[in-house]
Formats: sequence, structure tokens, C-alpha cells
Amino acid sequence: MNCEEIKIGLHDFVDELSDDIMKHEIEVHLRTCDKCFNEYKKLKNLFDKLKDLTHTVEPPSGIIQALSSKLLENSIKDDLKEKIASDSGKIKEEQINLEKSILESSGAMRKSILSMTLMATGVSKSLPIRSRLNWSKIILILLPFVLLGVAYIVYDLQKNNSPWKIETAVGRILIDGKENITGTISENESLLSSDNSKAEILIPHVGSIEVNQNSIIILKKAKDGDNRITLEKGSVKIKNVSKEPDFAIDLKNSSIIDRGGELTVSVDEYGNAKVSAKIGFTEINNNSENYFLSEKYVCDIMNGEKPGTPYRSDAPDTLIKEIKNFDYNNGGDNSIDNIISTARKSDMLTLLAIIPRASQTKRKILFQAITNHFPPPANVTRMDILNANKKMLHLWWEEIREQLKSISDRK
Amino acid sequence: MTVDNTNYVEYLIEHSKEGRKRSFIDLCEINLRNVYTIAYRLLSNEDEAQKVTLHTFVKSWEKIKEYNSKIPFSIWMKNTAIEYSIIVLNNRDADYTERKRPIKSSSEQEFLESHILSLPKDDRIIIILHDIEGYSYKEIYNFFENLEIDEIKSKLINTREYLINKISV
Repeated sequence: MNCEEIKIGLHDFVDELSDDIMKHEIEVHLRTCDKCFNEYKKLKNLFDKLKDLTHTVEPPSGIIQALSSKLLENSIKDDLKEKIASDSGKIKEEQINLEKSILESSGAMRKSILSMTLMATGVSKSLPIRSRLNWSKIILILLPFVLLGVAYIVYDLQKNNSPWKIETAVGRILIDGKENITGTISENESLLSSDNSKAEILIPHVGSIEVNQNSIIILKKAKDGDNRITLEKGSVKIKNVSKEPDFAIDLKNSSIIDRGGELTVSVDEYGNAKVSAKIGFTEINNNSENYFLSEKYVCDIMNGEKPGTPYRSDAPDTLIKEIKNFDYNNGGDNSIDNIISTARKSDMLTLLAIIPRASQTKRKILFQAITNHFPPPANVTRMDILNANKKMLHLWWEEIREQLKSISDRK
Repeated sequence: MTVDNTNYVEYLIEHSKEGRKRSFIDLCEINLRNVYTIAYRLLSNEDEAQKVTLHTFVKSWEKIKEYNSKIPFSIWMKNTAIEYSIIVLNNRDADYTERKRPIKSSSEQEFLESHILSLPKDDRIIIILHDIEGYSYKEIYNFFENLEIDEIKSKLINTREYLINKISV
């Protein structure tokens, strides 16, 4: 083959479409012909550059917002169409008559009446509705909406579920400073237990709170979908059967939102809190930032501070000590190195939580360390992680949590 | 870039099929960059790319029940985006002129990208689908109504030569 033919053949060659004979011929030619080898290099260079282009475009914000309102709008439109179709068979008949009259009417009129007929099918929103529908029909159409509104208010009111029942009480407990006579606790009342008393409270539709010795809680809000207590001191154990974020424990500056399962929260006399998720995951909200705590992980929150780095409940002491160094003693890069070297497979969520607070160089090492055990899921790129992209970090978090869960389920 | 669905994506798909909009919106968020990028490159126009992206999502919602896991979800959505982009390209008015783009040269990537965006319509579609997105000639042929595989191939070769000349100057 001559150079001209090779030049054309090179394209199949780089696309890996040439057959063996052709491939061989080109390889031999390239070894001896500088000119063609140069062409080959240029082509390769173009390919390398094209590969780098993969993700350079940033989508404008607002598309997702537009999507969710669009989906909502479409479903309302569908509902409305159905409603009008069923409510007003008669209107349809009238419409047909009207359409006939449109055909007979002059061209100038045609447009405005057309829009009126569109109106009746719920598509357009122009004015002439009054000329088409009389009042009783309008009321008939609006009635379901009014009823819905009233129903909603009634529904919302009956969501109040105060007072809560105190299922068991061991020893002497005080409700709002008084003896526990009614066996219930209402909104804005407190519950206090002593050295040798405990109580279990039922949260309607959600689960239960075990209040341990020497604790003070206040029931802040008792409403389905929004149940809230404040833990002033001591410890509580929550068993939650609802996966919805409908129960929260408020601490100083943080809020623990249980998402189903089992967890304990304790606050010591210095105001330092410890959150420990046993089953299911937990959300910690601090200054409108969300932190996620997987099952079998523990998170310390020093008095009113941001939540600390989470660690596995069975993590070795050396690892926990190093995490404290990193969190509170400016351990920095040195601590990160120690944490990486002591971390076991099950500690990878700890490494993931460190990424946003690590330097660029350490992020690379952390990324590699985690990837060795759990490669990031599709759509999560190394670049995203090095930039500490929150959404992507969370996707990876979900993936690792799922895998850790299935490992422990198998055991 | 073919990547299989992760557990999480499978989970979101299941929920979307049951009619949960929130899960579907999460799916869209995951694929947003993919879909927007391809639409933007094919159309070389931000406004149209935004419309095609939104349209792709809305249509995917309407036909989510038809999705089976034979191809990864990201590819499924991307294919829809490509179809709509090509429809938009073909329905442009005869006097539509693509905005003259300044050739940016702040980085090699931008320089190359702006040259690609300034290519004639068909040449642009072909090089994007084949060399950037990794579609085969046969798959590209299926997106076109009026081009044969050989024509696609020779157009691609010409485009590559053109770009090589641009970047090696």
C-alpha cells in the first residue's frame, strides 16, 4: 500500500475496525515511514483531546426546578381534563352545537370562539367562560376543590396527637415538675428521670422513646409528620418504625432526624452529645447542613459545635483517637495518613466524610483508598470527588452503605 | 461510556415506575450533565439545549414503564436526547444561521470544543456521536434518515482531518 492508502486506512485502524491483514500492513508501514507515523500521531493526539472533552459543559441551574413544576402541571392538567370530561357531559353537547355555529359564523369571529371551545376542555385560560357556563355549573366544578380545602384543614387539625402515652415507668419520674398521675405527657411538658428511674413513651404512628436514668426531655411538638423532643441531658433510645423524617430530637444547634430503625442519643453534663445509629440511617441537621450517619456508626457532637467525623461503633481505639486529633487538635494531613492506615473496609464511610475537609493532595489519596474497597458508582467521577461535590459524595455514600449493609446481612 | 446501573439507580427506577416523581427527579439530576452536554454539543445553542433536556426528561417520565434494563438507563436517556436534538436540528427554518462562535483559546479543550461547535450540522453530529460518545457507525446511521454508512464514514474522516489541522497549527 502507498502512503495515500495508508492515510485513509489509519482511520479504520484507530477505530479498531481494520481486519488482521490490514492491521499488520499498517503496523509494518508505520515502522518505516516517518510521514505516515506522524499522521498517526496527530490522529492519536486528536483522540486524546476529544477524550478530555467528555464532561466540560456545566448545565444551567433551574432545569430540575422547571422539570418538577412541569411534571406537577401535567398531572394537574390530566386530573382537570378527567374531571371536566366526567362532570359535564352536557357541556360537551353544547360545545358541539357551538362548534357548528362557528362554522357558520364569519371568519373574524372564528378565532375568538375557537378559544372559547378550547377553554371548555380545560386547555386555554381566557375569559369568555361566563358566556359558556352558568353559575350553577361553575359552582359544581369548584365544589370539589372547596371540599378538598375544608377536608385538608380538618385533616391537618386531627394530626395533632398530644398527649403521648407513657407506656412504662420504673421508679419515680416527674412530668413538668409534678408527679406522674395521668400517665401521659403533653406538648411543652418536660419529663425528668432520676438515678434509679426510667420511662418508655409511645410516639403515635412512629415508635417509642426510652428515657434512661438521669435524663431530661421536653416534648416540643406532637403532630403526625412533625414530632419533636428536646434532649437537655441524659440519654434516650429511639425505636422508629417510620422511614419518613417525622421525628426529631433537638440538641444545642443540631437536630437529629431519625429515618427509621434504632438509635441512641446522649448528652453529658458538659453538653457534649453522642449519636449512635444501630439500625437504619440517621440524618443530622446543623445550621441547615445535612450530615448522614449510617447504621453501626457513631457521631460525636461537641457542645453546640458542628458534628464530628463519624466512626464505626466497633472501630479500634487508635482510629477513634486519631479522628479526635483530626477533628479537634488540628491533626491535619498527619492525622489523615494515620486514619487511612488504620481504617478497615468497614471504616470507609469515615474516610468519605473526611474528604470535604482535606487538602487536594489528601483527597486524591482518600479517593484511592476508598476506591480500593468500593469503586464509586456510575456518574460519580474522580473529578467530582476531588471537588468534594456534595451530591456525588452522597451518591457514593449511598452505594457504600448499601454494600456494607449487604455484607453484614450475609453474616 | 457504558456503565451499568448501580443498585441505587435500579432502586430509583423501580420507584419511578410506581409513579414516584421524587425518585424520577433524582434520576434526572444524576443524568442532567450527560443529557445537557450532548444536547448542547449537537445543537450548538444553549436555549435549545435546555428545551431538549427538559423535553427529554418529561418524555422519559411518560414512557418510563417501557424501560427495561437491557441498556443502562443513562444511555436510554441519552438516546432520547439525541433523537430530539436531531429533530430540532432538522426542523430549523431554512434561514436559521448558527450563531457565529468566537474561537476560544484560553485552553486546548475550549479551543477544540469551539471548533467542534462551529462545524456544519451533520459533521458535528457524526464526530460527537462517534468520537466523543462512542456510538458505532451503524447506530449513527439509525439516527439519520438520509445518510448511508459510507457517507457517514467519509464525512467523519474529513472532519477529523479538518480538526487535526486546526489544533496542530
